[in-house]
Amino acid sequence: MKFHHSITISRTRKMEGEETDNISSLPEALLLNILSSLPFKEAAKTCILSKKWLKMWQSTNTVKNNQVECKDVEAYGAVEVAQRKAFKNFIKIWITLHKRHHLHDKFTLRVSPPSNCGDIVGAYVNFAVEDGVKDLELDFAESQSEDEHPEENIHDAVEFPRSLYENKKLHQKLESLKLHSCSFAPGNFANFVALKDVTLARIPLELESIRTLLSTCEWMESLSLKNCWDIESFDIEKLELKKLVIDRCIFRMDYIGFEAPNLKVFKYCGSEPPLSEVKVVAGTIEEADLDLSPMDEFDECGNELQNFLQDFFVVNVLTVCSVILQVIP
Amino acid sequence: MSGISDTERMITLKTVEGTLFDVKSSIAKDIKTVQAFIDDSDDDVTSPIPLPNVFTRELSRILDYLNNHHRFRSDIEKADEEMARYDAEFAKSMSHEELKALILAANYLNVKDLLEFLNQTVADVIQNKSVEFVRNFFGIENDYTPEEEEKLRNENEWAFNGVEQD
Repeated sequence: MKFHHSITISRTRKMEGEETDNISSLPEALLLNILSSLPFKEAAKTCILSKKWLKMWQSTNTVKNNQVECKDVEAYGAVEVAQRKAFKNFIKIWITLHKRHHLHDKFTLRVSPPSNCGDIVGAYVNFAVEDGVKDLELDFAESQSEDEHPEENIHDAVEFPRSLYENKKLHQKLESLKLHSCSFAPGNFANFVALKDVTLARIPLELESIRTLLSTCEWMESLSLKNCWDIESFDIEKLELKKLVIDRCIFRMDYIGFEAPNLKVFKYCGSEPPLSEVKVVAGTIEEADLDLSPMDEFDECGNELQNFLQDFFVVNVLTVCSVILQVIP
Repeated sequence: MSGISDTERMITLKTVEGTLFDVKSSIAKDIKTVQAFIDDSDDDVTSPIPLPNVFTRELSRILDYLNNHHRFRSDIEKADEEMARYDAEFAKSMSHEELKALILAANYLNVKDLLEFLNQTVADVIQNKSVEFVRNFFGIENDYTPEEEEKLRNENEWAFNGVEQD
């Protein structure tokens, strides 16, 4: 019978070349699966078990998705107290692994490096993406929680690795860039011709930086600002973007003004309605989402709110939060 | 998901000990080794399919798992919650030896979801445990000299400098 035959074959194949430690142990292929289910640091620790495990660890594909993520948050604490050298090893092994499994399109690094290690991160990020990626996300935020006030416990932002500005493959390939607590030089993106989507989060920003970024990359389609602060205002005369997200940012003057002939989607989330002068084009803008739910005081902002809302009367889909419905006169 | 009808075809599986299990063909689909056998056969499979590597205890657990997961999936509203609860119970109910035996069986039968779940279960068991615990768990004999072990720890200091105890 066909079946018996195939079973026998697969059985022999599975039994071949397996060194088992004893009768109750699992074949190496299955141990590797288990190894890859462990957080990075835990997996690394298995090298101490025996020589066989050291070999497995050295050959392992621990990084199982297209992301390198510090999924063991505990690593943070350890990394912070560790010497510069230990951190260097840590990130080196991590990124070498990532690279070995040639994951081309997306690179995510979430790590809170010790303050003197920014340059190491930079060097290895460059190494990791030297063949170019479509999505790059660098997250150096100390805490991953969304709603706390970011400026209260900010350490020095890590600088965007300088060598990346010169990476020609990245120029051609990079479409989406997300930077959390990562400072950058907005004028240096002139060669990133594929860049469409930029997210800036948890960083003090200057209006001038935003202006420079937008005028340097005229081809950009989408900009998201999340938990940014120190911005004077969002005052941009001509905005070519298709999508703009302003999420819980702190403006020194609560003012949003722009003329956006191509804007399709606008999302705003904040604790008070800004003074606004917004010109969008009926027929082009499709969706506006105004969320003022973080707002805790309702009084005396009805007029601004009405103004703000009126700016978006031409949209097809307007999503508002319940606060707006309560306050509007 | 195919609905489970009364007329659904049944497949019979036979373990090492010779125990027979009747399985709905919709469940058998998730057991890739069995499904491959069915696909390979020219006629309808009527006689029991022998599973020369699988013992009764493991097969009965695996079928239990698959039956329950099928049931959860047919009720979309509560599916995730109940499945998570069931999985947690399932993981807790196994001894370490049973867990390993089940991994071998699930691997042989090629039941992907279950295997992944079991791997994660093992990973959860051995995380943050002492080296001795993990060696015991897998039945590993330590073939390092104390000097080699010390050296390895120093080289990988970043991994070992967290808290470590039993």
